[in-house]
Amino acid sequence: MSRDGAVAGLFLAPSLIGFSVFYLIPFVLGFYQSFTDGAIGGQLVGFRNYADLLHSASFRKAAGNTMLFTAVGVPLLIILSMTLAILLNRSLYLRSWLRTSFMLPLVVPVASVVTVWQVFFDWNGTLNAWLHELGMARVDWMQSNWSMSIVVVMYVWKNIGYDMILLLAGLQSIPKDYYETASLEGAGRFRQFRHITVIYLTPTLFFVLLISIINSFKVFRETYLLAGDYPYDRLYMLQHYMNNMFFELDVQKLTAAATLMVGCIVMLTSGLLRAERRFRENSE
Amino acid sequence: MKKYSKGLIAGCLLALALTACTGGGLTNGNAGSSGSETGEGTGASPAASSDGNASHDGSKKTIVFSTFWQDPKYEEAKKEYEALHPDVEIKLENVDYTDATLEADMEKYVTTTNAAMLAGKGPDLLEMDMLPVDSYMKHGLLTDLSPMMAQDNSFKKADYFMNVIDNVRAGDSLYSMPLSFFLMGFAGDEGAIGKTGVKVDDQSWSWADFTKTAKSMTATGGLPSVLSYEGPEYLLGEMVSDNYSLFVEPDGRKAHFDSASFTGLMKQVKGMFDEGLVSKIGRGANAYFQSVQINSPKDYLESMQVAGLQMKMFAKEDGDHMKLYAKPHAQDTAAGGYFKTYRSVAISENSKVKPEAWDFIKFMLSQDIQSAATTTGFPVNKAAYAIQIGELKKQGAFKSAEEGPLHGSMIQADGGMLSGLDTYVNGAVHPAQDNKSDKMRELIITESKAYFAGQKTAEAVANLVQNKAMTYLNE
Repeated sequence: MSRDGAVAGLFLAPSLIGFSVFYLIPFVLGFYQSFTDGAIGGQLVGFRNYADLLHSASFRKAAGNTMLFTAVGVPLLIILSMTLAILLNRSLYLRSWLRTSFMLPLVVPVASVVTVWQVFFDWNGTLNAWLHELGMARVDWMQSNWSMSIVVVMYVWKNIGYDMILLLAGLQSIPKDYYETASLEGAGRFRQFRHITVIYLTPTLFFVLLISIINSFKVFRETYLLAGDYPYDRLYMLQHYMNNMFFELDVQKLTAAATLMVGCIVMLTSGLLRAERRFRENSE
Repeated sequence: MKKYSKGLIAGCLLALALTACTGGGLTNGNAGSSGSETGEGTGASPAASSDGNASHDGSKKTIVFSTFWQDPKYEEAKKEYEALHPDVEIKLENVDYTDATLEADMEKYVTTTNAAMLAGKGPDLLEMDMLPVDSYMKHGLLTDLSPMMAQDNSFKKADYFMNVIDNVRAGDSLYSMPLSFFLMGFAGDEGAIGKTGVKVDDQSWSWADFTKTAKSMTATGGLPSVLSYEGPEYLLGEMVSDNYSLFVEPDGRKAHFDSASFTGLMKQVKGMFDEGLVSKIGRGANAYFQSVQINSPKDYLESMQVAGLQMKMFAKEDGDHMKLYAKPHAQDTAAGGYFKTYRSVAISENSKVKPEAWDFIKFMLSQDIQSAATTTGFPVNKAAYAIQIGELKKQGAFKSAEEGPLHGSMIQADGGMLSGLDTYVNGAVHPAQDNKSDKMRELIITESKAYFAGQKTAEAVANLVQNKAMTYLNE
């Protein structure tokens, strides 16, 4: 057993070292930094940086926006990708082509996608041209309360294919006999969905939910390319804040914000994992 | 077991090779001391620690001086200084950039220097022109030069243009010493302005005075416009940074862009362009004034000639008596013109050779190093400036740039014009493009475009600017 452990350690070592050097150690250093003042010499100041951070109205706004984005985007994404997965699970004309096409957004480079979106939503862009032809007033989409909806759409568009594939795999692992038995016993479509599909898909759903939440934090890249470092109020997210702090050389606030964000993500994930474990124990 | 250890080493190497290319992101900056950036700097590695170089055992001291551009000016200063001080070695570090990747190289220089400075491992001396002085100051990364100036008996304030040096101070402290500067002002034809009969008091005019003067000048029916300017949004940006305290509270926590004074200013600027008092077409040909940046006494003569040529395209009889006028200043600031520093140097707070570095700065400020007429920028050393003027006068005439609009024709060194420059060199007291208002300025310029293009109302733009400004100020 100990020999196996050693071998396992050996095989894990490369990725473990890579992970430590480029993620874990910098994060731990950053964590330490978040409790010090100024960079040189750095004396411990306890939670002062965190207090400063929470006093910053911009940070609170950024955190609020990020939460709102995740709260709206993730459920929407899951509902839509689940619908798609169920539709594509049946025999459908051109099914394999459709499946492939939903994966395409994942492989297109972000910068080129953003360009297309910019052209579409610009003041003189496609969407406004259509509105104009319909005799409606133009809207500066990225500088209005629509801006977050646009980013939500972009996030859904980008991630729907990936989630769909995961859910499809989950759907296909549900034995067909269950449905046959249920329909023999007179269960309707909806009943089958609620008591077979949802139940057996739940483990996959937990995973998809987790991945979607993490991907929702990554939407910064698109927003940054689309709207720059000081976007419209509604779009100003945690990563904007951290990015700007980085350029202001404010390492203290930056690391404090990063630590808080990591803390939230860890809490969320461990909550989800615990819920999943409990679900699995109940269903066994 | 042997096999395993070989595999382990190979695995580690592979892991490092695979992950090394992803390490260049943001984590680099906040890890700071993790040392991962030392290896990857292409040319200049500002991270090369100074403590290793400042050898204490021998008597020879090393000053590491980091710049982005390779600069013959510094190379010359280094050579002469080392000849005079054999116990000091000055190590110039600059970046090997390529034209194709210039922007990325600049960005990389700034981020690596930032990281090195934050980790306390930066160079001893830095050229600050490209670096964020304000952030460095805020984090105490730079040495205050003013005590050194005060204690050094051989440094006589009267020898320098203190109007420039004193106005880049932060409070009482001076963190970044300008070696030279440019003058920012208007070029105008004395003859054409004289014909309007309007008195132009450029030494003390504010933007409000300018608007008044402009109205009476166009009323005389000479040239159609008074000022040629790149665009209304830039003029607005300029006027806001001139009146910065009106819109941003001094503690930098609250902005007042949603006020009537901001929308009023926007409307005023739009009015000036609509009435044609200021115009962005014509490139200065149809206006009494155009913005200029004067880089040196020689450049003054040459760019006035060029500006005159442009005026002649519109009115043949004008453009023979071009001279420099001071730019209008903000309502609530002191009268005087604008300057822009060029080649500012600063000493790292963490440097172990501060006295030597200061001595070298003083050397770069000296008359011998500064008086060469070939370099760009007005020297902050008064004697060096006088020598440049004197030599130009003695020369009488010089050849203009071959590739320039004058095609290498001879330019007369007009003694009167050169003497007239004195007032402006001594009277420039406002640093142009103050770093503090830079982000705001950028914000105002991008947002207000929509107003000037007629896409949005002044109030809508003001609200956007206000929101973004508040976000910026409260970060």
